[in-house]
Amino acid sequence: MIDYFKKNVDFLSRITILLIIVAGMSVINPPAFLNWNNLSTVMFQQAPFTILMSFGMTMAIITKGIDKSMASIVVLASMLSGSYFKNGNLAMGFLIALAVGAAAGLLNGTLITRVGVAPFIATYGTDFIALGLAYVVCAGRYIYDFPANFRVITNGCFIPSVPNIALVTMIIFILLWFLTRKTIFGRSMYLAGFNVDATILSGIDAKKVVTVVYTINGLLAALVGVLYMARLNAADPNISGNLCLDSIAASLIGGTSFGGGKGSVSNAVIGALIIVFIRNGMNIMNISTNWQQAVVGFVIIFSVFYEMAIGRLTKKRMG
Amino acid sequence: MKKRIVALGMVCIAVLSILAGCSNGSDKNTSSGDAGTAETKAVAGKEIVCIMKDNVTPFHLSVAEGCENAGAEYGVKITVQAPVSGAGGSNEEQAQLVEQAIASQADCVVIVPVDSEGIVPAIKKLNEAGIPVVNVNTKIAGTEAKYESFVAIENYQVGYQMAKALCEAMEGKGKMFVIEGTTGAQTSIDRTKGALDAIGEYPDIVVAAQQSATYNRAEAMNVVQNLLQQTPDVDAIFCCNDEMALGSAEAVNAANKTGEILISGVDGNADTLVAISEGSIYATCNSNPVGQGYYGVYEAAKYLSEGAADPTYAIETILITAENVSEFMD
Repeated sequence: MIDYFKKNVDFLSRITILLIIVAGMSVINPPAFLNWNNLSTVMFQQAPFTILMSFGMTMAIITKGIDKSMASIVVLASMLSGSYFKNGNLAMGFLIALAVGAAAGLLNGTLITRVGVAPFIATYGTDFIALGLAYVVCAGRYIYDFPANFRVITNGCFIPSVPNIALVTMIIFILLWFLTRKTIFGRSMYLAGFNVDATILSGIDAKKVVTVVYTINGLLAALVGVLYMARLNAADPNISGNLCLDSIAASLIGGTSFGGGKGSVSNAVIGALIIVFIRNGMNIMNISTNWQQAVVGFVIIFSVFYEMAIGRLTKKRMG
Repeated sequence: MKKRIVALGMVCIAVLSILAGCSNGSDKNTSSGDAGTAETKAVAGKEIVCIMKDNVTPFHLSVAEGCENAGAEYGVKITVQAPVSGAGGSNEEQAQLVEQAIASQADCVVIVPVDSEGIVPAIKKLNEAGIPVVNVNTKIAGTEAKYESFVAIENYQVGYQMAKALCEAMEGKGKMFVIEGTTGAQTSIDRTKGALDAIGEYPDIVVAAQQSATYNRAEAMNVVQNLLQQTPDVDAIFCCNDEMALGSAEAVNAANKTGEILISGVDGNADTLVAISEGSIYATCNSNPVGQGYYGVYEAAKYLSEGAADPTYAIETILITAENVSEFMD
């Protein structure tokens, strides 16, 4: 039992922060916050987008990189596939969205591993390209009012009272958890972030691993684009909004280290939930939206200190 | 060859936009057309730089379209510029665009400020450079920065009108959310003030929550979804623009309350008209963005030819509900 705590102190401490926030909100405004309707709305309808985005961001950060371009890939994928979904051609829509995502991710991966561009700069460039193209494609005409058989992808309930978007997020979580924790690819990913030279010397194709990570990110972003379109009932070039910064924040609050090689997709879930609950709680308390930004910043800094303190504590005990 | 194709494309776009402009507000355009002919000679060939708030919102793209229509009519060269940082724009980028306009020695600048306070230093630079300014849509704050004309809808009046329509439809009692635009934007401040004044006239109507959703559809959906948790029995939602009204409508739809909660927007976007005809949004108003851009350039041309423009030019708005929505749909 104590062993379990030691091993998972990082994950457990994040859950503690989440619980503290939820408890705080519940004390301040119990009837509005602490009811199943609100909690399920936040967890099953609002959080999945931030969670899916922070999966990608976390994986990029684990390889000692970052993916600044995901939010713009979300927009580009939805702008290009929107008219197909609108006309009820779902298969074609998915195909195009995922192709856009994979292509953008592959571009990122190739720039980083084969050309040797720093991850921030490569993805920053892709970010501009994707958003620019999205604006060109959209040209001010939003696509609005999608058919019901498309909106079901996000809003429908395959399992009663669990919206499909939550189900999709859970499936992706399980897939990514398995991929990062139980496969050679996953171990190579952590190794590549920890020490890329040693990884290459030990015979692992680190370049390929990193390229695959960014391609997965592109696919995740494309999926988010399609799901968000179904939620918002519109292909809107402004949906990127907070997605990029929120996913970086979620990864950081989840304890993913910019030093590389450390972090996990399960921590990303907790990080994302913390952010979404903060936003929800502050809306309910009728606090100005501008404060949310500041509060998320405070939580990021607090969680870094928290991690350091916990780290020191466990080291002492073990020593 | 490539250049020719591009040029041909541009001509096609120009022609199309002129045609679109004519079909949109033909009565107003023709009335000003008379004034235009007298000015054509004096202003032909001048360059007017039109700086928009952003390059993505349908509203501001329509303002730009209006500018180009007027430019084509008066024979002036119109250069439309806008921050590229997404909806709501950015003040820094606008300040840079102003500096570019000064460097390129534009004859006049027509500007829709992102931030009515923040743009003041940039406008003062234009004043120093001797380039006349026409202010469209969002008023430049204070008296330090000079502009020749202010073309806009009366935002206070629009806020008042829309909120009043909601209050009437609520039969004078109930709970309301007020969803503001970008904090600090004068359009949002004025519309909100107008709305609150209208609501104040109905003692039995309470404002259950007042929050900003930065004029953004996705943001408004999240904010309203959260607010609905606190006040599930809200009767109406006043939004400072149509994008946020559409986001609110999706939040209300997700809570299975479409039709139970009255939602109002401002702008008269195509999407909103569809939503009104389907009953998910109660009302919006036509803030005539094409006209705002058109008359911005009109005043600029007037100043360039006559040396004086109308200090203010008010664009009329029309309340749109399910009753008259068909008149505004293509």
